[in-house]
Amino acid sequence: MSALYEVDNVSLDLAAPAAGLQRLLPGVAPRMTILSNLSLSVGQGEMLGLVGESGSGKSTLARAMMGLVDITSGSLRFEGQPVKTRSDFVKVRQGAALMFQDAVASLSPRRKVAAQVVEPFQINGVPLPEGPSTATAMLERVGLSPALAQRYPHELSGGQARRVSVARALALNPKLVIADEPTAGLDVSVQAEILNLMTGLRRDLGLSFLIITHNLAVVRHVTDRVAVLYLGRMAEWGPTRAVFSHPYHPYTKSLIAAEPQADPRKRRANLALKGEIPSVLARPPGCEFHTRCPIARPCCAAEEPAPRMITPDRMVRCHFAAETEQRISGGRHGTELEH
Amino acid sequence: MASRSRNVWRALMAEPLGVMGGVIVLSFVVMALFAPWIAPYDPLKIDVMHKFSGPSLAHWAGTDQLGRDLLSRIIYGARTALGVAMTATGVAGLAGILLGLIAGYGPRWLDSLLILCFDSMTSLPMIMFALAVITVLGPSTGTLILVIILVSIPGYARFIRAQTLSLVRSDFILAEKAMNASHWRVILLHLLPNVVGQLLVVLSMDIPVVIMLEAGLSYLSLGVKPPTPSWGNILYDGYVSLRQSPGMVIVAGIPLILATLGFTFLGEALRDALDPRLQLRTLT
Repeated sequence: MSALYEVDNVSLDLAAPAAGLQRLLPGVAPRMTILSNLSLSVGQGEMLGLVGESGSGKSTLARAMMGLVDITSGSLRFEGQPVKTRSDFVKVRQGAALMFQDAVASLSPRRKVAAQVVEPFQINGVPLPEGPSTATAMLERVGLSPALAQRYPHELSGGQARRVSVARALALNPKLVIADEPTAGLDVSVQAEILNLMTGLRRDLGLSFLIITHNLAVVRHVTDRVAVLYLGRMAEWGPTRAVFSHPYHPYTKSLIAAEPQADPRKRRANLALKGEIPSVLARPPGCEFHTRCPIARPCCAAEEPAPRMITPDRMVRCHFAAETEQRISGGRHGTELEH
Repeated sequence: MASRSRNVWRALMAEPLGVMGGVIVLSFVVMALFAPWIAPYDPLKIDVMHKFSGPSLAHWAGTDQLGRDLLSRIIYGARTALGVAMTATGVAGLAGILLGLIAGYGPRWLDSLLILCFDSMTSLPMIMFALAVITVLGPSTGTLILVIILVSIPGYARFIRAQTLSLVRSDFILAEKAMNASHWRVILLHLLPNVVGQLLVVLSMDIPVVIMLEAGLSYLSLGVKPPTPSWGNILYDGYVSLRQSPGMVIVAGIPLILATLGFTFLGEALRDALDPRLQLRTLT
């Protein structure tokens, strides 16, 4: 599987909200690190899940990939071409589409749906493929009634707005769709419809998806690979099934353990995380997870763990990933990976 | 767009106060436009024999200290009032939209520079500023309009800037950029329609303020030069001759009050009608 979008060693700093005189001294103004040495690649036709708590930098990464925020260091490559300048991003935005977390808010409030779904064509100077009926055809493609074309965004339900944003994302036949929380705020039945729509599109059109979510059930059901983000750094990534059945990083373990389980026999030890994700302004030294880690040792506060490849397709960034694996899942040898 | 303006119209008509405001404003506009046909007398014709006459069949609103017909002067005064108010708010509104969009959407240094200008402008006491400009340029209707425009721009620009700032970081603007939309497209198609509706309301509510301002400055002999009829001039004449003819102040005050109410009602109804989010109730 060749890489479609590669994010290599990307960091992103923003000026922290400075008070008073600090603002006048650019050298002194505190910076906050939102993303730090992050690497990720989305393969052709792949569905990649990106999970992590609120504030871990998931949406910022998506925006950086579309050129909506500038990265501080590192490099981006789309279809093998480096993406640096504004004109590079013009190409990225023609070949990739971003779906926002709040679908209603991502539509212009005073324009009708019909005018908005055809915007990608107008902006990028592409003739409307089906002339005046393009808008209704696009809506039908995502299972919406053509009558919705004459509505304003606030007259749509959450699920309808989501479908409209899918329709708009698909306009230019992109190769990659970045979906930020595609199921947030939807009923479970509507969530399933949206996910089915997306997996169907991937099957029919060979689209790649980067699905950003904190809904692990979504990740488990639709993605091929999953990447776990913590405080702007990659904690772990690998094939979804392997990561779920066999998490290495203590953070991944806690996330999976925190997922509600219907079957009491499958319920795991309580590994629930204590406290909140630390502020980006007070990033913990060493391993950024050590403040909440159940297995942290003194060296975790001093030394940053290096990315370690457990197998060629699995990465984990933890000093003690291998050891703790045995200790925590000691009693459950039946769930070994099926290779 | 046609159905959109129909919806706005319907929403406007559903508001009883809006209808009332519309009728009042419309009658003033008709009065101003067709003053020569409506006014029973020449507003400048002096008839000293009949000065300070109270309301009669010949002079419905009486006459002033020079025997000029007050009703005719009021009707011609509407011309001055609306002419000054609409020109001034119109030009100031357009300039405010332009400057506000530049400040809100443009680079930060430009924003700071413009805000500095607005602040220094606002910090001048209005009457003092008006006095200074009028001293330099001499009192005339044109000077009056210029003063009102200069004084009003900062408020409108700040209003548009604040709205723009709250919108530029919103998802739908980011979504436009993620589709390669140009700055012009973002500004014209997505920012402007979302800020202009609110400003229209502010403008329509400011028109009575400007009418009052015109009357006030004319009253202070800084605005429209007599003998040109203006509500402010009539009010001044009425004040001077309050003892001989107390009715004059009332006659000049009534159109001021009516115009203020009419434009305010219309503005409020317009605000509700222009927002598609508030239209649900009229659509069903």
